[in-house]
Amino acid sequence: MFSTRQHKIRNFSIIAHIDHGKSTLADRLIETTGLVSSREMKEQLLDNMELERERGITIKLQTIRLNYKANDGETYQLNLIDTPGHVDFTYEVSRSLAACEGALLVVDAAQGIEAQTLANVYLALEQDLEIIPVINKIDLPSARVDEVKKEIEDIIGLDTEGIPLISAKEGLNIEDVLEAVVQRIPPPKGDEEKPLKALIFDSLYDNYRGVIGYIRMMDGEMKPGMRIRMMAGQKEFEITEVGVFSPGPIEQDVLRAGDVGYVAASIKDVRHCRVGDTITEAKRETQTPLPGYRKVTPMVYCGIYPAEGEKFEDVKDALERLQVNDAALVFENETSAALGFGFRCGFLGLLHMEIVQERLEREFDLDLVTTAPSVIYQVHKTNGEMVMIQNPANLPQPQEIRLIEEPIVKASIMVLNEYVGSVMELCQERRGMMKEMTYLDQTRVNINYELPLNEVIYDFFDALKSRTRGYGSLDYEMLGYRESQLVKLDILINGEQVDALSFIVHTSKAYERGRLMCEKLKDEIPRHQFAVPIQASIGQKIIARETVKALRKDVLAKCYGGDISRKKKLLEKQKEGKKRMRQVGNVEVPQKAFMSVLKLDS
Amino acid sequence: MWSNQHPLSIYIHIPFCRQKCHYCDFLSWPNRLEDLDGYVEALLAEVDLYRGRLAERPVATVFFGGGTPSLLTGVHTSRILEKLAAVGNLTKNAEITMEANPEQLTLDQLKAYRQAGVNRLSLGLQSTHDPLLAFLGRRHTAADFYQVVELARQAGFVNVNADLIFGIPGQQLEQWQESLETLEAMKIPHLSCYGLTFEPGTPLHRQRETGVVCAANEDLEYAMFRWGIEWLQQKGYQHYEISNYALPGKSCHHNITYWENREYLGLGAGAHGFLSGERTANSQQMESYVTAINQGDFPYMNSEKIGLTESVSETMFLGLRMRRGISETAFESRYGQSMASFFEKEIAELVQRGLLERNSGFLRLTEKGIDLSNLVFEKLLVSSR
Repeated sequence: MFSTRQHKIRNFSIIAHIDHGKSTLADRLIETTGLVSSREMKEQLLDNMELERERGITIKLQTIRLNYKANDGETYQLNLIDTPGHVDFTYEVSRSLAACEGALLVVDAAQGIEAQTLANVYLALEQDLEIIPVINKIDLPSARVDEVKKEIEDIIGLDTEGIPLISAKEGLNIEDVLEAVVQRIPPPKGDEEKPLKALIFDSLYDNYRGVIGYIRMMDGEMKPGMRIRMMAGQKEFEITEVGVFSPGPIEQDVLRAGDVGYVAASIKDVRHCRVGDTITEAKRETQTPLPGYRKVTPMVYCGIYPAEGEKFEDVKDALERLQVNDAALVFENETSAALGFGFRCGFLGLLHMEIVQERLEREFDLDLVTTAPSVIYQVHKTNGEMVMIQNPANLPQPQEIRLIEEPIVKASIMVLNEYVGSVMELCQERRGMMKEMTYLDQTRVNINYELPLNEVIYDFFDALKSRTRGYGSLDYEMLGYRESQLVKLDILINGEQVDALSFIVHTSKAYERGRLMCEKLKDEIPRHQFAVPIQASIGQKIIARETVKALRKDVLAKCYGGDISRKKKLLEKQKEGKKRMRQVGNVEVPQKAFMSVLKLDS
Repeated sequence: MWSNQHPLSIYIHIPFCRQKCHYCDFLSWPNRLEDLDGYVEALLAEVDLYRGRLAERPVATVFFGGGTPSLLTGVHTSRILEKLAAVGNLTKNAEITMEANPEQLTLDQLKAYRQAGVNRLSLGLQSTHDPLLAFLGRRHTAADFYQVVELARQAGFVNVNADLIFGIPGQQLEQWQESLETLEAMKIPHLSCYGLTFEPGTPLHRQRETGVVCAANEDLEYAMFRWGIEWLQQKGYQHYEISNYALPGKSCHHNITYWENREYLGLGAGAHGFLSGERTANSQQMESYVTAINQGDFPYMNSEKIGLTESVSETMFLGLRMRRGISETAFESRYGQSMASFFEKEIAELVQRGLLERNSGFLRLTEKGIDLSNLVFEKLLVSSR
């Protein structure tokens, strides 16, 4: 039965490109509805992950319930569901959008629409959401409101008649946004009488309550004591607490169809409460789970090793603690001859990988060595077997391989006209195939490419940014696997193969990459008593070589009474530096050398 | 571990210069000669602070270093040495060295030093080529040096050292050889040969960083180093420390104190001392140095207690600088443990790599080990953790 209660509920999210002012607008909405004062807000709401603030992106979702007294005199319950802001988290974005009836599309009045915004708009349209364009930063001198309106109409096909024109920073016309939300976004239409059906759109781990599921109630109701079942996960739990965020968690007696809130049920593992899964009541199950659930799987892998061997357990603990909150992070033990004991870790994408690495280093104060990222290759062996390889060291011998397939993505790149040439050049270098090019207006172009994922995960995004002076934006999605001429490139230092430096590369690029790696390593490896050859090889064949010349003289000219303390400290520092080096045969290789080969694009 | 069986050495720092050389990172105050008298008074008062220590054991060497100690007058010098003799026990045949720049040195002045008790002169020559001297910012010519050597002999100095630098940007191998040949022909009994070091904070270092000056080619510098070692030995000099050469009987006893890791007193601003297992560094400011002394305090800027492991490390990297190396028995009697008990694995590895060798009870660097001595020293530090 459709309740009148739901008439007063609006569930929405905000779609915006990085820097277009999403969090500022969210803050203003919170402030305007009087939930917290602006001073408190700084302390309470923005006090989330340091990393998120620095990078201007959202990794963990924020959800908040606002009460707004509209111009019609009624008080509405507005549930704002934040979305993560990066291509690695497309699936999470789609699930948060699925929890809403509408979305605000925030477009920068000076910059216009960007590729990533567009990608999320399409996600929202797929969910049949009501989209309200909002033009932000109208106070900027470079604002071009009319042009941007036209862009929105032409590119997305949305009506821009009477849309809110605001400056979130200046707090200008924020009421217009709230009114539009009330008037244009449809209320939820769930049935409170039907069996429970709720969507998990995020989860996090709380030390006291276990896993907290962020949920959108579709049908039925949820209260403490009820036994629930995760329909995809097939696990049952008993609810210990339900509540809403306003802005902190506030316990409720019950959540009903249309509500957004949280549920705690003594769930120990975040993987039992996966994003996209449907929660139902164990003894009265819904007939149809919500559509669109998929188990997120890592796309990019790399080895993570403690810089100091004895820190292995610390890295393990840290990874476990991160995993508690991050169902997409996977890892298993791995051993490298060069780097010792470490972990092979899987990530959603490059950003996810960087975030995890940075968190390990900052929050857990660990010093890490990471290996080059790899994708998953499907290797078809001559004996008919197919193996998935994500660590180059595990690639079967060439004579056992019939063919190798690599993952291909569909990349959509949005750039200014003048950079089209350099972007095409970049994509060509990265073995891209152009599929489509659309002019969005006189100056902006959207280019679609099919690119091998292993080309994207290196430094593609950095290269794109540098070749478009920071204006290019990138979005990609998985397309599938395709046969490719791939080989394993090995690096030998003083004749010893270094497993941690091996990687899989397309034949056409093997020589260049081998040469670049040898050059980089030559600069990073200190001189030894003997000459150190650095070679790149494919199988038995050497394709590139550099030599670190032997050290002939390393002498301290003077050492008298006044020099002793200083020289001793110098020697100690040098020794300390060497202690942290990795031993490859009788060559000492600095940690930095392993990392230096991760970015080869000059 | 510390003994006062051995006589003490005294280093006296004279941080005054007419002008600072481009490569120099020693403490010196160019153009403050008007403070010199007051500084000497402070030095004399500083000697009193060590009255107790000086009573314990004889003083076998004194070294006036700088700066330019030859800015001291004969009177300054004799007052200082008389003070030392009065407060402590300056042995009759003590080695007393004064560093001097071959600029504006007169026969009278040299005689006065000799009179005061100075018996060894260390001359900062650096090169026998005037353009290279100009490049280094030296205020003298090669001819000035020849003149000073002559005057020094007239004044009665037999024990003379010349400092030389190789690897100067623009210096040819032939020029280096010529410098050594010239000094050998003059029978200068002691030579210190240093590879040019670009010390941070010096004008030379800045010039290299900004690309104005290019360091000497590595192979060339190495060739100079090696040529010096081989040729000087052919000519009868003993290569007794990495950078030092002496005709028989003319090694510098004062410096051997450092390399044997024995104790010494440091007097003067910026001077370092090593007494009762503590390394100290005096204040580098004239004002705070003088103030501390006037208040009867040691003018230390910092001090560090040297524990067993630090002492062993220092003994190793200092002792191995000497060609004869470290006496295994002396080491054991000093520390009550053998060298091997600290470094068995490391020594074996370094011997195997051809960098160290054992020679009649001494552990020493091989020729290859001299070239790569820093690699050796680094291995022979006892980690303090």
